[in-house]
Amino acid sequence: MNQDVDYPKLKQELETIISWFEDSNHNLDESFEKYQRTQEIISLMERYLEDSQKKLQVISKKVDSQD
Amino acid sequence: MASEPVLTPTDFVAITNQVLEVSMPHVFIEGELTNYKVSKNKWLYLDLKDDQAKVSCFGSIYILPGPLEEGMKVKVGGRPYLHPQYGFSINIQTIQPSGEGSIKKAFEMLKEKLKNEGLFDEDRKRSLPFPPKNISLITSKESAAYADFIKIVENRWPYLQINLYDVQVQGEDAVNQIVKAVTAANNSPSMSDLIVMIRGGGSLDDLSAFNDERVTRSIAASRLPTLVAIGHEVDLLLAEMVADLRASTPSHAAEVMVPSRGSELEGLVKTKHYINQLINNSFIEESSYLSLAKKTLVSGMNEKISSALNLIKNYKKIIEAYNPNEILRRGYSIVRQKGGVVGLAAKLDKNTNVQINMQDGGFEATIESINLNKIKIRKEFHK
Repeated sequence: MNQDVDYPKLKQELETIISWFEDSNHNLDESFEKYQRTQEIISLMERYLEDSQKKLQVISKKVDSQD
Repeated sequence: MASEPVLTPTDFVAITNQVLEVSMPHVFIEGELTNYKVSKNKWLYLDLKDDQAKVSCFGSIYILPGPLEEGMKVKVGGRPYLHPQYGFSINIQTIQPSGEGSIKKAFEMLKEKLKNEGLFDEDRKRSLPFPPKNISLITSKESAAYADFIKIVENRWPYLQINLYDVQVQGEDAVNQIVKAVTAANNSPSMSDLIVMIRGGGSLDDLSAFNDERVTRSIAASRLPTLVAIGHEVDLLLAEMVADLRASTPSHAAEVMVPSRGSELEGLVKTKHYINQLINNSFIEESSYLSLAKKTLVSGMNEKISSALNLIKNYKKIIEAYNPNEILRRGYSIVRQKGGVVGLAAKLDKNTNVQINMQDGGFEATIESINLNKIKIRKEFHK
Protein backbone atom coordinates (compact mmCIF):
# COMPACT_ATOMS: atom_id res chain seq x y z
CA MET A 1 0.00 0.00 0.00
CA ASN A 2 1.25 3.46 -0.80
CA GLN A 3 1.96 4.91 2.60
CA ASP A 4 2.26 8.45 1.15
CA VAL A 5 -1.33 8.53 -0.02
CA ASP A 6 -3.57 10.51 2.30
CA TYR A 7 -6.92 9.06 1.32
CA PRO A 8 -9.16 11.44 3.32
CA LYS A 9 -7.26 14.41 1.91
CA LEU A 10 -7.61 13.11 -1.66
CA LYS A 11 -11.32 12.55 -1.11
CA GLN A 12 -11.73 16.05 0.19
CA GLU A 13 -9.85 17.47 -2.82
CA LEU A 14 -12.04 15.47 -5.21
CA GLU A 15 -15.22 16.70 -3.58
CA THR A 16 -13.94 20.27 -3.75
CA ILE A 17 -13.31 19.89 -7.51
CA ILE A 18 -16.76 18.36 -8.05
CA SER A 19 -18.29 21.30 -6.20
CA TRP A 20 -16.23 23.57 -8.42
CA PHE A 21 -17.64 21.87 -11.54
CA GLU A 22 -21.17 22.14 -10.20
CA ASP A 23 -20.87 25.91 -10.27
CA SER A 24 -21.46 27.03 -13.89
CA ASN A 25 -19.42 29.35 -16.18
CA HIS A 26 -15.92 28.06 -15.77
CA ASN A 27 -12.97 28.73 -17.89
CA LEU A 28 -12.53 25.81 -20.25
CA ASP A 29 -8.76 25.58 -19.77
CA GLU A 30 -9.21 25.44 -16.03
CA SER A 31 -11.86 22.77 -16.51
CA PHE A 32 -9.34 20.68 -18.42
CA GLU A 33 -6.79 21.02 -15.68
CA LYS A 34 -9.31 20.22 -12.98
CA TYR A 35 -10.65 17.29 -14.93
CA GLN A 36 -7.14 15.93 -15.39
CA ARG A 37 -6.53 16.27 -11.64
CA THR A 38 -9.73 14.35 -10.87
CA GLN A 39 -8.45 11.47 -13.00
CA GLU A 40 -5.19 11.41 -11.03
CA ILE A 41 -7.01 11.57 -7.72
CA ILE A 42 -9.42 8.82 -8.64
CA SER A 43 -6.56 6.65 -9.83
CA LEU A 44 -4.68 7.14 -6.53
CA MET A 45 -7.78 6.45 -4.48
CA GLU A 46 -8.58 3.27 -6.45
CA ARG A 47 -5.03 2.01 -6.07
CA TYR A 48 -5.12 2.78 -2.36
CA LEU A 49 -8.32 0.81 -1.90
CA GLU A 50 -7.10 -2.15 -3.98
CA ASP A 51 -3.93 -2.25 -1.87
CA SER A 52 -6.07 -2.11 1.26
CA GLN A 53 -8.07 -5.11 0.09
CA LYS A 54 -4.91 -7.08 -0.62
CA LYS A 55 -3.41 -6.19 2.75
CA LEU A 56 -6.62 -7.21 4.51
CA GLN A 57 -6.53 -10.61 2.80
CA VAL A 58 -2.90 -11.15 3.83
CA ILE A 59 -3.61 -10.22 7.49
CA SER A 60 -6.71 -12.39 7.57
CA LYS A 61 -4.80 -15.43 6.21
CA LYS A 62 -1.96 -14.85 8.67
CA VAL A 63 -4.37 -14.79 11.63
CA ASP A 64 -6.08 -17.94 10.34
CA SER A 65 -2.77 -19.81 10.15
CA GLN A 66 -1.98 -18.84 13.79
CA ASP A 67 -5.29 -20.28 15.12
CA MET B 1 13.76 -43.29 137.41
CA ALA B 2 15.66 -40.39 136.05
CA SER B 3 13.97 -37.07 136.47
CA GLU B 4 12.27 -35.75 133.33
CA PRO B 5 14.05 -32.80 131.71
CA VAL B 6 12.46 -29.45 132.16
CA LEU B 7 12.31 -27.51 128.92
CA THR B 8 12.04 -23.89 128.14
CA PRO B 9 9.13 -22.90 125.89
CA THR B 10 11.63 -22.22 123.11
CA ASP B 11 13.16 -25.65 123.47
CA PHE B 12 9.76 -27.27 123.58
CA VAL B 13 8.68 -25.53 120.37
CA ALA B 14 11.96 -26.46 118.63
CA ILE B 15 11.77 -30.12 119.70
CA THR B 16 8.10 -30.39 118.80
CA ASN B 17 8.78 -28.99 115.31
CA GLN B 18 11.68 -31.45 114.89
CA VAL B 19 9.42 -34.34 115.88
CA LEU B 20 6.68 -33.13 113.54
CA GLU B 21 9.13 -32.69 110.66
CA VAL B 22 10.28 -36.29 111.00
CA SER B 23 7.04 -37.99 111.88
CA MET B 24 4.56 -35.92 109.87
CA PRO B 25 6.29 -33.64 107.32
CA HIS B 26 3.11 -33.32 105.24
CA VAL B 27 -0.53 -34.00 105.99
CA PHE B 28 -3.93 -33.80 104.30
CA ILE B 29 -6.84 -32.72 106.45
CA GLU B 30 -10.38 -32.60 105.18
CA GLY B 31 -13.00 -30.68 107.08
CA GLU B 32 -15.51 -27.85 107.11
CA LEU B 33 -14.11 -24.42 106.40
CA THR B 34 -14.63 -21.97 109.20
CA ASN B 35 -13.16 -18.65 110.43
CA TYR B 36 -12.05 -17.98 106.85
CA LYS B 37 -10.12 -14.66 106.68
CA VAL B 38 -7.89 -12.91 104.19
CA SER B 39 -5.44 -10.42 105.71
CA LYS B 40 -3.75 -7.54 103.86
CA ASN B 41 -4.88 -9.18 100.60
CA LYS B 42 -1.97 -11.55 101.07
CA TRP B 43 -2.42 -13.94 104.00
CA LEU B 44 -4.99 -16.60 104.51
CA TYR B 45 -6.33 -17.77 107.87
CA LEU B 46 -8.86 -20.52 108.30
CA ASP B 47 -9.94 -23.35 110.58
CA LEU B 48 -10.91 -26.86 109.59
CA LYS B 49 -13.41 -28.49 111.87
CA ASP B 50 -15.55 -31.56 112.32
CA ASP B 51 -17.94 -32.57 115.09
CA GLN B 52 -15.29 -32.84 117.73
CA ALA B 53 -12.14 -30.94 116.71
CA LYS B 54 -10.82 -27.81 115.03
CA VAL B 55 -7.41 -27.23 113.35
CA SER B 56 -6.01 -23.78 112.48
CA CYS B 57 -4.37 -23.28 109.10
CA PHE B 58 -2.30 -20.48 107.61
CA GLY B 59 -1.03 -19.76 104.09
CA SER B 60 -0.62 -17.37 101.14
CA ILE B 61 -3.63 -16.38 99.04
CA TYR B 62 -1.67 -17.34 95.92
CA ILE B 63 -2.35 -21.01 96.56
CA LEU B 64 -6.13 -20.49 96.43
CA PRO B 65 -7.85 -22.47 93.64
CA GLY B 66 -10.63 -19.86 93.51
CA PRO B 67 -13.12 -18.23 95.83
CA LEU B 68 -14.05 -20.21 98.95
CA GLU B 69 -16.70 -19.61 101.56
CA GLU B 70 -17.56 -20.63 105.09
CA GLY B 71 -19.19 -24.01 105.43
CA MET B 72 -17.52 -25.54 102.38
CA LYS B 73 -15.85 -28.88 102.72
CA VAL B 74 -12.16 -28.46 101.79
CA LYS B 75 -9.05 -30.60 101.74
CA VAL B 76 -5.89 -28.86 102.92
CA GLY B 77 -2.43 -30.23 102.23
CA GLY B 78 0.38 -28.76 104.30
CA ARG B 79 3.00 -28.90 106.98
CA PRO B 80 2.11 -29.07 110.68
CA TYR B 81 3.99 -26.34 112.53
CA LEU B 82 4.13 -25.00 116.05
CA HIS B 83 4.68 -21.26 115.96
CA PRO B 84 6.70 -19.87 118.90
CA GLN B 85 4.09 -17.17 119.52
CA TYR B 86 0.86 -18.05 117.72
CA GLY B 87 0.66 -21.72 118.52
CA PHE B 88 -0.10 -24.75 116.38
CA SER B 89 -1.28 -24.50 112.75
CA ILE B 90 -0.98 -26.16 109.38
CA ASN B 91 1.13 -24.22 106.85
CA ILE B 92 -1.08 -24.62 103.80
CA GLN B 93 0.56 -25.81 100.60
CA THR B 94 -2.61 -26.81 98.75
CA ILE B 95 -6.28 -26.28 99.37
CA GLN B 96 -9.11 -27.72 97.33
CA PRO B 97 -12.86 -27.90 97.81
CA SER B 98 -13.85 -31.51 98.37
CA GLY B 99 -17.10 -33.36 98.22
CA GLU B 100 -19.45 -32.89 95.31
CA GLY B 101 -21.44 -30.07 96.87
CA SER B 102 -18.43 -27.95 97.75
CA ILE B 103 -16.66 -28.55 94.49
CA LYS B 104 -19.75 -27.45 92.58
CA LYS B 105 -20.28 -24.48 94.81
CA ALA B 106 -16.63 -23.36 94.46
CA PHE B 107 -16.84 -23.90 90.71
CA GLU B 108 -19.97 -21.75 90.40
CA MET B 109 -18.45 -18.95 92.47
CA LEU B 110 -15.26 -18.87 90.44
CA LYS B 111 -17.16 -19.16 87.18
CA GLU B 112 -19.32 -16.17 88.12
CA LYS B 113 -16.28 -14.14 89.14
CA LEU B 114 -14.35 -14.84 85.91
CA LYS B 115 -17.46 -14.33 83.82
CA ASN B 116 -17.95 -10.90 85.36
CA GLU B 117 -14.36 -10.09 84.40
CA GLY B 118 -15.23 -10.98 80.79
CA LEU B 119 -12.81 -13.92 80.53
CA PHE B 120 -15.36 -16.11 78.77
CA ASP B 121 -16.59 -13.44 76.35
CA GLU B 122 -16.92 -14.58 72.75
CA ASP B 123 -15.14 -11.50 71.44
CA ARG B 124 -11.97 -12.61 73.26
CA LYS B 125 -11.85 -15.80 71.23
CA ARG B 126 -9.15 -15.83 68.58
CA SER B 127 -9.14 -17.97 65.48
CA LEU B 128 -6.59 -20.75 65.40
CA PRO B 129 -4.04 -21.06 62.60
CA PHE B 130 -5.10 -23.92 60.35
CA PRO B 131 -3.15 -26.06 60.01
CA PRO B 132 -0.54 -25.01 62.58
CA LYS B 133 3.13 -25.71 61.82
CA ASN B 134 4.10 -26.37 65.41
CA ILE B 135 2.27 -26.60 68.70
CA SER B 136 3.03 -26.61 72.40
CA LEU B 137 1.27 -29.64 73.83
CA ILE B 138 0.58 -29.55 77.57
CA THR B 139 -0.37 -32.93 78.96
CA SER B 140 0.97 -36.00 80.73
CA LYS B 141 3.16 -38.09 78.44
CA GLU B 142 2.00 -41.22 80.26
CA SER B 143 -1.70 -40.55 79.63
CA ALA B 144 -3.97 -42.32 77.19
CA ALA B 145 -5.06 -38.85 76.06
CA TYR B 146 -1.52 -38.14 74.83
CA ALA B 147 -1.31 -41.48 72.98
CA ASP B 148 -4.71 -40.93 71.29
CA PHE B 149 -3.86 -37.39 70.33
CA ILE B 150 -0.45 -38.28 68.82
CA LYS B 151 -1.89 -41.24 66.92
CA ILE B 152 -4.58 -39.15 65.26
CA VAL B 153 -2.23 -36.27 64.45
CA GLU B 154 0.27 -38.66 62.84
CA ASN B 155 -2.46 -40.23 60.74
CA ARG B 156 -4.01 -36.97 59.66
CA TRP B 157 -1.12 -34.50 59.44
CA PRO B 158 2.35 -35.94 60.07
CA TYR B 159 4.02 -32.61 59.25
CA LEU B 160 3.13 -31.06 62.62
CA GLN B 161 5.97 -30.30 65.02
CA ILE B 162 4.98 -30.93 68.64
CA ASN B 163 6.81 -29.42 71.62
CA LEU B 164 5.65 -31.47 74.58
CA TYR B 165 5.31 -29.99 78.06
CA ASP B 166 5.01 -33.12 80.19
CA VAL B 167 3.00 -32.16 83.27
CA GLN B 168 0.93 -33.77 85.97
CA VAL B 169 -2.72 -33.36 85.04
CA GLN B 170 -4.04 -34.16 88.51
CA GLY B 171 -2.74 -34.07 92.05
CA GLU B 172 -0.99 -31.53 94.14
CA ASP B 173 1.56 -30.27 91.64
CA ALA B 174 -0.73 -30.26 88.63
CA VAL B 175 -1.76 -26.60 88.89
CA ASN B 176 1.78 -25.28 89.29
CA GLN B 177 3.15 -27.43 86.49
CA ILE B 178 0.36 -26.49 84.08
CA VAL B 179 0.72 -22.77 84.82
CA LYS B 180 4.51 -22.99 84.38
CA ALA B 181 4.07 -24.87 81.10
CA VAL B 182 1.70 -22.21 79.71
CA THR B 183 4.17 -19.48 80.69
CA ALA B 184 7.13 -21.40 79.24
CA ALA B 185 5.32 -22.04 75.95
CA ASN B 186 4.54 -18.34 75.64
CA ASN B 187 8.13 -17.35 76.42
CA SER B 188 9.82 -20.03 74.33
CA PRO B 189 12.15 -18.64 71.62
CA SER B 190 10.79 -21.25 69.20
CA MET B 191 7.35 -19.71 69.36
CA SER B 192 4.59 -22.23 68.66
CA ASP B 193 1.51 -21.39 66.63
CA LEU B 194 -0.78 -22.75 69.29
CA ILE B 195 -1.04 -24.16 72.83
CA VAL B 196 -2.97 -27.40 73.11
CA MET B 197 -3.96 -28.67 76.57
CA ILE B 198 -5.44 -32.15 76.80
CA ARG B 199 -6.45 -34.66 79.42
CA GLY B 200 -8.66 -37.72 79.54
CA GLY B 201 -11.88 -37.94 81.55
CA GLY B 202 -12.15 -38.33 85.32
CA SER B 203 -14.11 -37.31 88.38
CA LEU B 204 -14.62 -33.65 89.18
CA ASP B 205 -11.97 -34.02 91.83
CA ASP B 206 -9.50 -35.48 89.32
CA LEU B 207 -10.16 -32.63 86.95
CA SER B 208 -9.93 -29.91 89.60
CA ALA B 209 -6.70 -28.46 88.15
CA PHE B 210 -8.69 -27.45 85.06
CA ASN B 211 -11.19 -25.61 87.24
CA ASP B 212 -8.43 -23.82 89.12
CA GLU B 213 -8.31 -20.04 88.97
CA ARG B 214 -4.55 -19.96 88.35
CA VAL B 215 -4.76 -22.36 85.41
CA THR B 216 -7.79 -20.56 84.00
CA ARG B 217 -6.08 -17.16 84.23
CA SER B 218 -2.87 -18.46 82.65
CA ILE B 219 -4.86 -19.67 79.64
CA ALA B 220 -6.72 -16.36 79.44
CA ALA B 221 -3.41 -14.47 79.54
CA SER B 222 -1.73 -16.63 76.90
CA ARG B 223 -0.42 -14.70 73.91
CA LEU B 224 -0.56 -17.91 71.89
CA PRO B 225 -4.03 -19.09 70.85
CA THR B 226 -5.28 -21.97 72.98
CA LEU B 227 -7.14 -25.21 72.35
CA VAL B 228 -8.29 -27.16 75.41
CA ALA B 229 -9.83 -30.62 75.37
CA ILE B 230 -10.68 -32.51 78.54
CA GLY B 231 -12.56 -35.76 77.97
CA HIS B 232 -15.53 -35.83 80.30
CA GLU B 233 -19.26 -36.00 80.32
CA VAL B 234 -20.02 -33.32 82.89
CA ASP B 235 -20.36 -29.56 82.51
CA LEU B 236 -17.63 -27.55 80.84
CA LEU B 237 -14.51 -26.87 82.88
CA LEU B 238 -13.24 -23.34 83.34
CA ALA B 239 -10.05 -24.07 81.36
CA GLU B 240 -12.22 -25.05 78.39
CA MET B 241 -14.51 -22.06 78.77
CA VAL B 242 -11.64 -19.60 78.73
CA ALA B 243 -9.76 -21.25 75.82
CA ASP B 244 -10.00 -19.83 72.32
CA LEU B 245 -11.35 -23.18 71.14
CA ARG B 246 -12.64 -26.20 72.98
CA ALA B 247 -12.82 -29.79 71.78
CA SER B 248 -14.84 -32.53 73.42
CA THR B 249 -11.97 -35.03 73.70
CA PRO B 250 -8.21 -35.15 72.99
CA SER B 251 -8.94 -37.11 69.79
CA HIS B 252 -11.46 -34.48 68.75
CA ALA B 253 -8.85 -31.78 69.44
CA ALA B 254 -6.48 -33.48 66.98
CA GLU B 255 -9.26 -33.63 64.40
CA VAL B 256 -10.24 -29.98 64.65
CA MET B 257 -6.63 -28.80 64.87
CA VAL B 258 -5.24 -30.34 61.66
CA PRO B 259 -6.83 -31.34 58.37
CA SER B 260 -6.77 -34.89 57.07
CA ARG B 261 -3.96 -35.38 54.57
CA GLY B 262 -6.23 -37.55 52.40
CA SER B 263 -9.07 -35.08 52.25
CA GLU B 264 -6.60 -32.24 51.60
CA LEU B 265 -5.15 -34.16 48.66
CA GLU B 266 -8.63 -34.89 47.38
CA GLY B 267 -9.47 -31.22 47.73
CA LEU B 268 -6.33 -30.23 45.85
CA VAL B 269 -7.15 -32.57 42.97
CA LYS B 270 -10.67 -31.16 42.81
CA THR B 271 -9.33 -27.61 42.91
CA LYS B 272 -6.86 -28.44 40.14
CA HIS B 273 -9.64 -29.81 37.94
CA TYR B 274 -11.80 -26.83 38.69
CA ILE B 275 -9.02 -24.39 37.77
CA ASN B 276 -8.30 -26.33 34.56
CA GLN B 277 -11.97 -26.18 33.69
CA LEU B 278 -12.08 -22.45 34.38
CA ILE B 279 -9.02 -21.85 32.19
CA ASN B 280 -10.43 -24.05 29.45
CA ASN B 281 -13.80 -22.30 29.54
CA SER B 282 -12.09 -18.98 29.47
CA PHE B 283 -9.95 -20.08 26.51
CA ILE B 284 -13.00 -21.32 24.59
CA GLU B 285 -14.88 -18.13 25.36
CA GLU B 286 -11.97 -15.92 24.30
CA SER B 287 -11.35 -17.96 21.13
CA SER B 288 -14.93 -17.69 20.00
CA TYR B 289 -14.94 -14.00 20.85
CA LEU B 290 -11.77 -13.48 18.78
CA SER B 291 -13.12 -15.52 15.91
CA LEU B 292 -16.31 -13.47 15.86
CA ALA B 293 -14.36 -10.25 16.25
CA LYS B 294 -12.12 -11.26 13.33
CA LYS B 295 -15.09 -12.05 11.09
CA THR B 296 -16.81 -8.82 12.06
CA LEU B 297 -13.70 -6.78 11.43
CA VAL B 298 -12.85 -8.40 8.08
CA SER B 299 -16.42 -8.05 6.90
CA GLY B 300 -16.53 -4.46 8.21
CA MET B 301 -13.29 -3.59 6.46
CA ASN B 302 -14.50 -5.20 3.22
CA GLU B 303 -17.74 -3.27 3.42
CA LYS B 304 -15.81 -0.08 4.03
CA ILE B 305 -13.57 -0.65 1.02
CA SER B 306 -16.53 -1.65 -1.19
CA SER B 307 -18.42 1.40 -0.14
CA ALA B 308 -15.36 3.57 -0.88
CA LEU B 309 -15.03 1.95 -4.31
CA ASN B 310 -18.72 2.59 -5.01
CA LEU B 311 -18.23 6.18 -3.98
CA ILE B 312 -15.36 6.45 -6.47
CA LYS B 313 -17.64 5.03 -9.21
CA ASN B 314 -20.14 7.75 -8.43
CA TYR B 315 -17.40 10.36 -8.47
CA LYS B 316 -16.36 9.07 -11.90
CA LYS B 317 -19.88 9.41 -13.26
CA ILE B 318 -20.17 12.91 -11.89
CA ILE B 319 -16.74 13.89 -13.24
CA GLU B 320 -17.53 12.42 -16.66
CA ALA B 321 -20.53 14.72 -16.92
CA TYR B 322 -18.11 17.62 -16.63
CA ASN B 323 -15.53 16.19 -19.08
CA PRO B 324 -14.68 19.05 -21.49
CA ASN B 325 -13.77 16.54 -24.19
CA GLU B 326 -17.43 15.52 -24.39
CA ILE B 327 -18.23 18.64 -26.46
CA LEU B 328 -15.58 17.63 -29.07
CA ARG B 329 -17.32 14.25 -29.45
CA ARG B 330 -20.48 16.10 -30.40
CA GLY B 331 -18.66 17.83 -33.38
CA TYR B 332 -17.59 21.05 -31.74
CA SER B 333 -14.00 22.34 -31.85
CA ILE B 334 -11.98 24.40 -29.40
CA VAL B 335 -9.99 27.35 -30.68
CA ARG B 336 -6.93 28.48 -28.73
CA GLN B 337 -4.88 31.55 -29.43
CA LYS B 338 -1.76 32.51 -27.51
CA GLY B 339 -2.35 29.57 -25.17
CA GLY B 340 -5.86 30.55 -24.17
CA VAL B 341 -9.26 29.32 -25.34
CA VAL B 342 -11.05 31.84 -27.56
CA GLY B 343 -14.81 31.68 -27.44
CA LEU B 344 -15.63 34.79 -29.55
CA ALA B 345 -14.53 35.64 -33.14
CA ALA B 346 -14.28 39.23 -32.09
CA LYS B 347 -11.41 38.33 -29.80
CA LEU B 348 -9.26 36.88 -32.62
CA ASP B 349 -6.37 38.77 -34.18
CA LYS B 350 -5.85 38.77 -37.93
CA ASN B 351 -2.69 37.05 -39.30
CA THR B 352 -2.06 35.19 -36.10
CA ASN B 353 -1.91 31.48 -35.47
CA VAL B 354 -4.66 29.60 -33.72
CA GLN B 355 -4.80 25.99 -32.52
CA ILE B 356 -7.96 24.06 -33.23
CA ASN B 357 -8.80 20.96 -31.14
CA MET B 358 -11.18 18.35 -32.50
CA GLN B 359 -12.39 14.97 -31.22
CA ASP B 360 -9.57 12.96 -32.76
CA GLY B 361 -6.73 15.56 -32.92
CA GLY B 362 -6.12 19.14 -33.95
CA PHE B 363 -4.48 21.52 -36.35
CA GLU B 364 -2.94 24.94 -36.49
CA ALA B 365 -4.26 27.69 -38.72
CA THR B 366 -3.49 31.27 -39.57
CA ILE B 367 -6.32 33.78 -39.53
CA GLU B 368 -6.47 35.57 -42.80
CA SER B 369 -9.56 37.49 -42.20
CA ILE B 370 -12.14 37.87 -39.51
CA ASN B 371 -15.74 38.03 -40.25
CA LEU B 372 -17.98 38.23 -37.39
CA ASN B 373 -20.30 36.03 -39.28
CA LYS B 374 -17.64 34.11 -41.25
CA ILE B 375 -14.03 33.42 -40.38
CA LYS B 376 -11.60 32.40 -43.17
CA ILE B 377 -8.80 30.18 -41.99
CA ARG B 378 -5.82 28.49 -43.58
CA LYS B 379 -5.62 24.96 -42.40
CA GLU B 380 -2.39 23.27 -41.24
CA PHE B 381 -3.33 19.83 -39.98
CA HIS B 382 -1.55 18.37 -37.05
CA LYS B 383 -2.09 15.31 -34.92
